[in-house]
Amino acid sequence: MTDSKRTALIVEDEFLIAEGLRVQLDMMGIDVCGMAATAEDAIELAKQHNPTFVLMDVRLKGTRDGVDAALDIHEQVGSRVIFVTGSREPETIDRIGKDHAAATLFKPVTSLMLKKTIDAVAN
Amino acid sequence: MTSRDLQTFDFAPFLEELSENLIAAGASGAIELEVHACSLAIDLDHAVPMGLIVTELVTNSLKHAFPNGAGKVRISVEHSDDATSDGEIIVTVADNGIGQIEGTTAGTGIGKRIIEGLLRQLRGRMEVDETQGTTTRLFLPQLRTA
Repeated sequence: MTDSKRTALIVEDEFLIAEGLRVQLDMMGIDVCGMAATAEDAIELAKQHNPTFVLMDVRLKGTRDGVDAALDIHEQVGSRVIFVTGSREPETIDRIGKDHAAATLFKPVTSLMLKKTIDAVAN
Repeated sequence: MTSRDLQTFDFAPFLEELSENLIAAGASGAIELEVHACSLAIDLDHAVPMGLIVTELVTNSLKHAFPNGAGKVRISVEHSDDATSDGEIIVTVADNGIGQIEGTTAGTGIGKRIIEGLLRQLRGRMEVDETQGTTTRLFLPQLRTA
């Protein structure tokens, strides 16, 4: 699959980090089909756009977190989910481990790491 | 900066120091700074975006408002006295400069986009008054810190 056919959904509640990821994906020629700051919006946008993959922050605004959203997206849409987390706490890692994570990235995410990971999971 | 716990700190001294630094670093001429900030316990999730927004606004004033290099920037933080506002916080950044150049409020600049994005993150709103210099008022919902 070529880059131009891959689409991504960004789920991140910090505006500047979300924008940073969007710019990184833009530069890789990946189409960002949506950006969400809550689990609910993420699930809604994933259903709507059926993205190739989702960049998923763990800690989100609202009551449900990224792991909750990823479970729903996995079941209802089937997009690959790449977790992007700022926390290395065992509790967070365990929660991600229980999910269907295609990969896990730790913030700050360099463009090189992002590209390698996306190439590995979304081809 | 003192704090009673590790989760929150007082926004007022942080804002004073931030704005003094911005003026010291970015003002070429005689720019006067006035800060009136009420004491406000705040956590990092709020302080960082608020600090960035204030930085953008003050930098805008320094860049565009004072072609002659002289003027005044006023910053204030207060609790809304509107009984219906549910503890809303009002942050004001005002300058007595020439006002915005026509067209710059249309939302084309990256600064404007950053401000709007961070405000959305804080669930706040903004009012801009350009009748006398530029006055930007940020209305932020009550900060429910952990």
